[in-house]
Amino acid sequence: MEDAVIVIEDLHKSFGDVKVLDGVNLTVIRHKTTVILGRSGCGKTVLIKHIVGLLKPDKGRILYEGRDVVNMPTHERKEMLKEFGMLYQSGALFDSMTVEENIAFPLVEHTKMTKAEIKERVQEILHRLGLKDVEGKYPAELSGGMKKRVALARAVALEPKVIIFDEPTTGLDPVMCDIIDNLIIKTRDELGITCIVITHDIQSTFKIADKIAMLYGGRIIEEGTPDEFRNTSNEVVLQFLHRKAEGPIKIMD
Amino acid sequence: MDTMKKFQEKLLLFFDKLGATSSTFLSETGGIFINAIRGLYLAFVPPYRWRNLLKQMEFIGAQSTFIVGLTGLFTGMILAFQSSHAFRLFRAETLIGPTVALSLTRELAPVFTALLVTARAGSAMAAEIGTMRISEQIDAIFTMGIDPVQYIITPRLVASILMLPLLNALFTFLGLIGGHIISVNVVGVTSFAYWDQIFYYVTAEDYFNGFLKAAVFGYVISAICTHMGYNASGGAEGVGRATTHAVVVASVSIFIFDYLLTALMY
Repeated sequence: MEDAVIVIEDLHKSFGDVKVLDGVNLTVIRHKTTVILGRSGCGKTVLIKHIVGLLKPDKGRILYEGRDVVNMPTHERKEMLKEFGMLYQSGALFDSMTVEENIAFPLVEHTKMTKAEIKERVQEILHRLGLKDVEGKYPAELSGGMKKRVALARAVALEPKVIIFDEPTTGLDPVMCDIIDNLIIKTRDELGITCIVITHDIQSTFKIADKIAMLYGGRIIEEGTPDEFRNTSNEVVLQFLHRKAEGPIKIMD
Repeated sequence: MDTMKKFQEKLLLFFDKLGATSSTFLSETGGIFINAIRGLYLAFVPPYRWRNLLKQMEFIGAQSTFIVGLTGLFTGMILAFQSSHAFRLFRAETLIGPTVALSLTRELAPVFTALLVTARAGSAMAAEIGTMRISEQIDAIFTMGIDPVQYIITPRLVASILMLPLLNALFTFLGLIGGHIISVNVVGVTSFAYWDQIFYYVTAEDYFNGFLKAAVFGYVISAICTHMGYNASGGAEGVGRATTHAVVVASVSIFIFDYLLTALMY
């Protein structure tokens, strides 16, 4: 039996009449990278928002280290979230703060470190992520790739056990995509962090994933290692992997 | 028969719209109310973020002093001018002072201060928080294990409740100075008569009620503006909508609460 950190069981969620999640089952394994693959707007973001408690499911369970996330009391959830890092698609950096203040933010809020210790820690993280001379800059002055890296720096500041990446390579040039991919691999290997990545970037998926799960029609329709995915006979997965407009995936708009 | 059917359809549509509007109104009012209660409650729960509070006090209070002071000065001058016209008919020009002072302390200072703060700081609150919402910054705060309401809304509520009475005092003081300038230099009342009559007619209660009104207005406008920003959706246009909505609802609410408070106080 694999060592599961997060277990999602039969998760359902609708917004009005629109059914977004229709019985999702998924297991996230410790110290591995799980990639959730799917089309834009298929509910990937909705799924991860459930894991951190930003959304409540209509039905189903989410277990983190065996504890029920859905009905967790507020103070317990706050403690749990300190073990999570989240990298938002837009970076979600605080635009009224400098890069240094952004990365220091979780440390200021959650630790008793002194100003000097925090400064040192921020420098160390920036150095590890290959960022130089950006401490005093504001997020608006940074490029897309820089923003993602600073956001990753903020996410790892508290040394979390799990990091969730929301479309980390979307909107970046190929070189920057590869840099981010390498950083995700580094995060997993050097810091021993469990990574969850949601993306529709196939090249990146095969580079970073230990396990891939494909979300389609509100369910996980295929789950396995990258090799298993390459040899799949599932037509939906094949259409997606081979970037075909024709196939079982129906485009409404 | 056909006209009957059309009429029925129109009637149904009317009630449909009426129902939808009242339901939006009720949920919005409820949302603002919950936001106001929860936001203020969290001020008494650790951690206390003094830096955030001071920053908001500086923004809402200190940075509003110029515009509030200037408006106060001119309001006092205008009041003195207008009332001098009437009092001259009775040769009762010495009553300009008390008229200006009573109008300011009881009504004009708290209401004008609140309207100015809504326009200056309330709109900024809604826009800033709305932008934080649509750019996922509020979600980011939540996923760091920090209560976004306590981090973002609470300091703004507390700062508004504390700063509005102070701005009200500034408005009143400069309004009285403005009244003095016109009474003495234009109408010809002596400086002694101006102040003497004010001290004779205006009681401590008048001042106190003005401060109380200002504090309540501060609470109301900050609760409305933060709520609108916090629940913004739909991109840049949504933030614009939330900001407009915040300023309109807050401004109207000032007058509604002014009526209620006046009815209770006097």
